[in-house]
Amino acid sequence: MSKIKKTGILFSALIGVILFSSSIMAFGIALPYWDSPDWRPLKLAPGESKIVELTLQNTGEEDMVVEASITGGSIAKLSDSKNEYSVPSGEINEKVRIKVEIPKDAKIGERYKVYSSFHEVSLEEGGMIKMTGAFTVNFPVEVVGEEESDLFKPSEKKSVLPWIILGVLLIGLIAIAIVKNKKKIKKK
Amino acid sequence: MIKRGKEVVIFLIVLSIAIIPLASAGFFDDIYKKITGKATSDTTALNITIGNSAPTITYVQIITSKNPTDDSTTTITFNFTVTDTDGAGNIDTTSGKAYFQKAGETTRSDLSCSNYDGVGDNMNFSCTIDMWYFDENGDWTINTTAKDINEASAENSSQTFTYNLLPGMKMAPTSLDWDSVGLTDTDTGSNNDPVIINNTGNDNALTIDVTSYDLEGEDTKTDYIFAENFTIGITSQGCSGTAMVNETATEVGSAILNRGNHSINDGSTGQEEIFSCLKGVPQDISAQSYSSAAFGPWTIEIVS
Repeated sequence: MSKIKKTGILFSALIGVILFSSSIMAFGIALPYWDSPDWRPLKLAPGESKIVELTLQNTGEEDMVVEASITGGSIAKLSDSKNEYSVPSGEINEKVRIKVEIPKDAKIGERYKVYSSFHEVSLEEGGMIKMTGAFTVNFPVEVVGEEESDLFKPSEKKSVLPWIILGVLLIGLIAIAIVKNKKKIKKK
Repeated sequence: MIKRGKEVVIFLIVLSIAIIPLASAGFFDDIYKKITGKATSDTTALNITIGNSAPTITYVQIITSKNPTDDSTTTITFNFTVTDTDGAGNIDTTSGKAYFQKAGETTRSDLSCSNYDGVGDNMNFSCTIDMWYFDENGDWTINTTAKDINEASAENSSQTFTYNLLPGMKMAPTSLDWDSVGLTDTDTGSNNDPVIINNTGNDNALTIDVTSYDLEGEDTKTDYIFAENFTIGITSQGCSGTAMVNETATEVGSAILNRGNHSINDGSTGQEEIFSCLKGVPQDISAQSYSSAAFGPWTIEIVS
């Protein structure tokens, strides 16, 4: 009798099948930097920082909540005041901001990788084994000289031209003043 | 005698002046043909050169970096300008074409870019091209072409745009279930797998980790089926797959998610299938329902 009872242990899984077997989860994270198929790192100079925007997309049937975290890379942290992002179904432009800061003493040529994880926060319950989706993504960072940095703007290059013009103008004004002064003296 | 000689020379000169134009006009040929019965007309090659300046493409709008759209297309619209020194009216309004090209990738194109009214020597064309979610990340060349009404063509491929990286996935079903399982049953596959994971982005060679948790009895909370009782693999029923470890991300051996058009639905192009197996249950647990409700859902994680 005892044996029959034991072999008769059942999992009641039918409810789960009815509730969830048709559910589809779909999401992605777009990144502006990568290391494959080519090397496309974020380039920053020592002491520089930049906020990198990753883009969450939800093309699934249901609204999602995604929890973000930095899982690797001492130079990076989440820049947003939250770490959970509501991504409605159809939303393809939910930004996640990561601040990357290069130490001042970093050496040019050093390379880092920033790892971040994105976990779907499940709002549903039930079923025998409920499953959620997640991503671990990464992007490379390279320490470069100031002029190679992504932040470098050629137009902001220090130019001496304005100073030269200012100097010429000043000399001109002084010359005019001297001439006028001499004329006054002569008249007297 | 000398006088006669002069007359002969003068006669020959006059004769030459009279004959040369007739000969060059084909007069004698005509007479010959009339006499011989041959045709009086003949074909001749005419080579007429009419002045035409080939158009040039003088401007291609800069396209900023674009994100792929998960499981869909990203529509990119841009303009380019064709200049023809013969005037915009000389440009073939139906000739504007644009291509996005990358080595090893399918070229995306608009073969009927729409034109705006010409102004002076210039005519603008507007092109719209869809990039697919599985198109490779990196720099794509923007190639534009146009022609004038004399078939002289212009081409410009001086610009590129960046197509970003998109790790993306679509997964179904999102729960696993089993039929009734007895204490002595072993190697029982889930009744609703495989879980089909589609690569809905353009990242390549992704691995798949599963973080699993013990299942708790829904009535008797002290009974468990342990995560270690399950294996997950890429072949049915998953019973020779990777053993799960409680609360630990475990890479499913051999599972890989490649870049590609998953609509082909062949189980490998942009797609991976994973199967779950219950190897057996602890021998001292009671008959009841067990689920992931207590310790949380299992996580299928795509690792880029």
